Amino acid sequence: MRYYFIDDDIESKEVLLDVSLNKINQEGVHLFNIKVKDEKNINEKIIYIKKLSGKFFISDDGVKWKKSQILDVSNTIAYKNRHLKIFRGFKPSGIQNSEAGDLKSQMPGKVIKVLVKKDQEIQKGQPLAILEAMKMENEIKASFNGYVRSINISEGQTIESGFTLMELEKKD
Amino acid sequence: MNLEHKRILILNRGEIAIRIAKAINELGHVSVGICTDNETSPPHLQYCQEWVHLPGSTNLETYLNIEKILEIVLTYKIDAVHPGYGFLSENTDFSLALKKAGVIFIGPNAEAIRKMGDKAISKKMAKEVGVPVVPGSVGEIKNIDDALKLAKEIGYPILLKAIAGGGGRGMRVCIDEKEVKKNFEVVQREALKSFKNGALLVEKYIVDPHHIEVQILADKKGNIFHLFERECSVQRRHQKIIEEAPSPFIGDDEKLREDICNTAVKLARQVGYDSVGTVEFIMGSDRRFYFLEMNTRIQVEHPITEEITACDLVTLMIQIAFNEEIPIKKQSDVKKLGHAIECRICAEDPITMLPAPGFLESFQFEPPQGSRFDHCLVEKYNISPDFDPMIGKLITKGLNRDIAIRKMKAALNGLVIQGLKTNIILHRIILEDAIFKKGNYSTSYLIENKINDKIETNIEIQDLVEHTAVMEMLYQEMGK
Repeated sequence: MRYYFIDDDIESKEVLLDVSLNKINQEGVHLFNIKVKDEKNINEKIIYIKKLSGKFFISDDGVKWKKSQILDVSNTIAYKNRHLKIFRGFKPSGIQNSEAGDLKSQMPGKVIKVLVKKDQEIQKGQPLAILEAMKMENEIKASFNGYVRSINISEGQTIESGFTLMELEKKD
Repeated sequence: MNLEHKRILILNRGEIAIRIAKAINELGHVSVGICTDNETSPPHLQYCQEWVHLPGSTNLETYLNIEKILEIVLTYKIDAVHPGYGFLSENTDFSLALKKAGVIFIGPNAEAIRKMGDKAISKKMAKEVGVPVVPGSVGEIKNIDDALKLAKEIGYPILLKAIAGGGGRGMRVCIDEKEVKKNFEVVQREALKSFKNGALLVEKYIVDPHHIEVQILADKKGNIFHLFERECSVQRRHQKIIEEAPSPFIGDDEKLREDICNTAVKLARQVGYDSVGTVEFIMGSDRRFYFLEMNTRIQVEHPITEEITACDLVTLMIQIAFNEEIPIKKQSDVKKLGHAIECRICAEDPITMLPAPGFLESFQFEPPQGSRFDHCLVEKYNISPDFDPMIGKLITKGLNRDIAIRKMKAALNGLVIQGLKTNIILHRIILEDAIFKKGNYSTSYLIENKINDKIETNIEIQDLVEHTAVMEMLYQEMGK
C-alpha cells in the first residue's frame, strides 16, 4: 500500500512510502517492508510492530522495542511545527506543490482588511491583508519585493487553511 | 446552610465549562450547559445534567447575547449563572440584568465589577488607597491625537489597550508615534469585537516586568482573604503560557510576598469585593510592584493556587454566591504547601504561536503522580477557529519547584495529541531551559531568548516510517 505525507505549509514537501506486510508471527508481531521516497533518496526498511494492551510498540530487529506515539489511524499528522496530510492508496488531484508566488492562508479565519490593490508594487515586509482567527488579528506580510497580480479575497470573507489569498510576482 | 438544589446555568464552553459543571454537580446542584449553532455537540455537555440550545453562530449572537440569555434563564427556571472567564464574566450590565430578574450572578456584586472591570476607574481607586499604579491615562483615550499627546508625556514605549480587555486580547505595545497611528484602530476593532466595548487606554510599558498576581477570596459578610500569588511571566503577545505558584521571582522573600498579598487585599476591601478574583501586578527587576488590573472572575490559571492551598476555588465561589458558610474564617486558615505549575496546552503552531485550529484525531494522557489535566478534548472533534485556541491545562505539583518541573516533564511526555499542532513541544523546551529552571524570567523571556526558535523542525523520515507501519497494521486489523 502506498502512503503520501504532504506538507500543508507554503514550502510544500512530499514523502512517499510503499508499505507491504511481510509476515505475522504467532505472537502477533507484524513485520513490514517499507520503501521510502523523498526528494533525495529511496530507502528500504524493515519494521516490526507489536500491539500490547492497545498500545503499539516498534522495533527494527524484533528484539529491542520502543513505544509508539501513534494512537489511531488519522488523515493528518501534526509533526513539530508542521501539519502533514496523509493519503493512503491514492493522492487526490489538485494537491500540488504551491507556486512560489501564491500567498496561501495558514489557518482558517476571516478577512478583516485587504491592504493592497491588484497590480500594486509591494515591498518586502509590507502588510498585504489582515486576517482574524480565534479573535486575534494577524497581519499577512510580503516576504519579497514584487507585484500583486491577483487578489482572491474580499473583506468579511471566511477562508479555509491553504486558500490562495493573492498571487504575487517576485521582482527580479 | 442552604441545602436546596439550585439550577445553575454555565455560560461558557471548553475546559472551564467542564470544571464548573463538575463543581456544581459535586455541590449537589443541577448543572445546565449551553450549546450553540456553531458548536452543536461541545464536549462540556457530557458533564452537564441538562443543557439548553442557544441559537446563533457568532459569540455576539450567543455567549454575549444578554437578552437571549435572560430569556433562557427565565424560561428554564435558572437560579444562578456561572459566567466562567471571558464572555460576560466581567459585564456589569449582565450582572445587573440578572439581579433585576432575581437570578444570582456567581461572581462579585455589580458595583465591584463596574469599578474593577473598568481599568480607568480601578486605577483611580487603587491610587486612592495608596496602591502604586503604572503611569498612564486616567480614563478613556478617545482618538489617536490624544493617545499621541499622552504618550509623549509619559514616554515611549507605551501600551495601547482595551478598557474592557483581558487575556492578551485588544492590546499592543507601541514604540513610537508611527506604531500608535498604525495600531489604534486595530486594537479598537479587536476590543469592540471581543468585549463589545471599543474604549482604549494608554499606559507606560514597563520593560522586562514580572507578571505577578494575587488570588483573592472574599465572602458576602465582609471577609477578605488572599490565597498567595501566582507568577505568569512566561508570555507571548501578553498571552500567558506557563504559570507558577508561588512566584519563583519572589522566592523566599516572605516580606515582599506579604506586602504584595496585603496590598491586593487592601484594594479588594476598598471596592467591597465579595467573590473570588485576582489582583494583577507587574513587578520590575527592582522588586517594586504596580497595580495593573483586577480580574473580577475565576481565572484560567486558578488550579495552581488550588494545588498549593488545597482550596477549591470554583466550589467556594458558588458557595459564596449563595451566601453559604465557607471553611475559611481567617487568613491563617489559608496555608500554602509546595509548588505548582500550569502549562496551557493550545492548538497552535509551536514556533509562530499562531492559532492552528483543526481536527483532533485522538489523544491519550498517562499522568504521573501529582498531575491534573483540565481539558475539553474528545477524539474526532473539530477545534473551531471561532474560539480560543486553549484546549487544556496541564497542572503538576510537588514539594518544591524542581519536583513540580520534573513532574511536568513527565506529564507532557504522557500527553499525546494526534492530528492537531500543539505547543507541547514548546513547553518541553521551556522546562529544559536554564533560565526558566533558575526561575528568574521576565515577560520578555520567550522573545528575548528566542525560545521558539530552539524547536527542531526537521522531518525525521524514521518517524514517518513508524507512523506508516502502525497505521497499516491498524488498517489491516480493520480488514481494509
